[in-house]
Amino acid sequence: MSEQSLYTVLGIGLFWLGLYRALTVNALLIKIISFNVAGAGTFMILIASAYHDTLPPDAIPHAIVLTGIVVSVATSALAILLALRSQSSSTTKTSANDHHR
Amino acid sequence: MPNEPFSIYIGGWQPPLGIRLSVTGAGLLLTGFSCFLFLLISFFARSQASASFPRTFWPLLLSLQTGITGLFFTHDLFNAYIFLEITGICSVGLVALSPGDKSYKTAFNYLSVNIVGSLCFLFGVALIYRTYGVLDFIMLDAAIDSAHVSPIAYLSVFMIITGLVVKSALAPLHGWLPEVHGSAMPLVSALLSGLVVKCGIYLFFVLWWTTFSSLITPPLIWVLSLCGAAGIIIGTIRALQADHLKQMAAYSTVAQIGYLFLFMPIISQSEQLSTEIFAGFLLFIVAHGLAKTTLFLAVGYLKSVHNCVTPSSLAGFAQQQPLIVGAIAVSAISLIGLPPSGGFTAKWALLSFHASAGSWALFTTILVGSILSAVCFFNIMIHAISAPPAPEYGETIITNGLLQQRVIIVLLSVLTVLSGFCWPLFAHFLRWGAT
Repeated sequence: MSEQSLYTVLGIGLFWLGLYRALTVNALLIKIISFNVAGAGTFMILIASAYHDTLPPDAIPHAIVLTGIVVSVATSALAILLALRSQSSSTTKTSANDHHR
Repeated sequence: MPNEPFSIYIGGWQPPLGIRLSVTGAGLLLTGFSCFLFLLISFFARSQASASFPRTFWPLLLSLQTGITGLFFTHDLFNAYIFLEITGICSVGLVALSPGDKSYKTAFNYLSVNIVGSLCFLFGVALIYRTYGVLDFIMLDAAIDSAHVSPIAYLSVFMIITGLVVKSALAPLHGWLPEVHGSAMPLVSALLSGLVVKCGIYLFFVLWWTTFSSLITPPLIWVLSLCGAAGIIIGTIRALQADHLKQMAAYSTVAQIGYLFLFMPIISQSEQLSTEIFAGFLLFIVAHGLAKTTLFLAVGYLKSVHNCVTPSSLAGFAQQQPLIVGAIAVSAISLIGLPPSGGFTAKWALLSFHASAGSWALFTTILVGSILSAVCFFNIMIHAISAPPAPEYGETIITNGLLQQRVIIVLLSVLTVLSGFCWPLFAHFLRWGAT
């Protein structure tokens, strides 16, 4: 098995692992991290496909992966913010209820 | 009009290295439509009490418009992913702005659905790039036709389709839509139902008919028709059971998405027929966009002014608010598919395609779905019309803003009717730049 196909297979595996965990877990932070793992798997496939044994590596996957990383950083930031806010709003509600009792 | 699509190469780089944006008749039509809808919704938003509006609303709205416009023009798979992400993130932001305790939780769930969809899409794109080495739609089409089709190509097409289906809430994966569209602000739900959901479907349709047409296998067509039919039935029945006007509108969107997906399995032999199918598909998008925007805005208006959210609380409103109830009736007519409306023309086209293709099971499903949705909407109308006039709540003072909102709602309902007569115009538009 060549190095390129090894990394492709690993990338596919990583993607499915991340996706599976993201769909089955309830904890918000773990979900966000699993999305990132799945994204990393996709990026690994792309990086592996840039490899050429004689020519210099293909430039397009690099551009794609860079853009993809930017997008995933932005979505993770948004997801973490939303998770924090939704938890803080639910905890303030429960603490208010406790106070009430 | 020129017959060639007008292409822009970003930075002057030609594909496969650069990205091609291509202005086709279909893209132009949908862009014009979406920009018009955005304009009306902006006016509607401006006329609402601006105190409850955070300042981030406007940047998010404009970025959403950017993403949607880009999706209609892009001819590059990865670029399409970027525009899908822009659209998705902006709509999540708009949902999070809605008042209420649960809006952050809803927005988080919506964001997770969006991320799952885009991850599947990106995974498919990565596999496509690995197999064929190009991402431009036309070059990809040529590459797929000539090359021997590998199993990886099937997997990648399946993943891209799954990603788009998740984003556009086709039947088994529709669970997120009513929650999101039901809890957002009315004008945000109008945008989400009217336009955002359609972007994924439009991209799906373009890929299905051009680039991936040689990779479509009969089982895939089967599964899609089944999902579309299930969407129609499930969406309409849940809309019947719902006891909240916005939930009803949201479930009706699920059903309408089912109809839209039933445009995919029609097999066309001739160029003429495929143009007609495309025209019917676009008309369906436009008609549903107009009708659903009218419905959501009218329901939102009733909720904000008279605080009524259930069908039974509408009792007697036909006398009190004839224009708004009339607008709801017009949008209901279009959503059911009764003449004269855009929904009727589009659904008639869909039915005739299925009749000529001989797929009677789908034909019957469409009819049954229409009858069920008629039951659902007539229920609302009966509540609004037949009950005695509601007790006077005291004369509501018609401010400038409310007047503007009413004008927009009525204008949209008029357009819903008019769009039914635009069928020849659509076909004419599509002949330009058909690839």
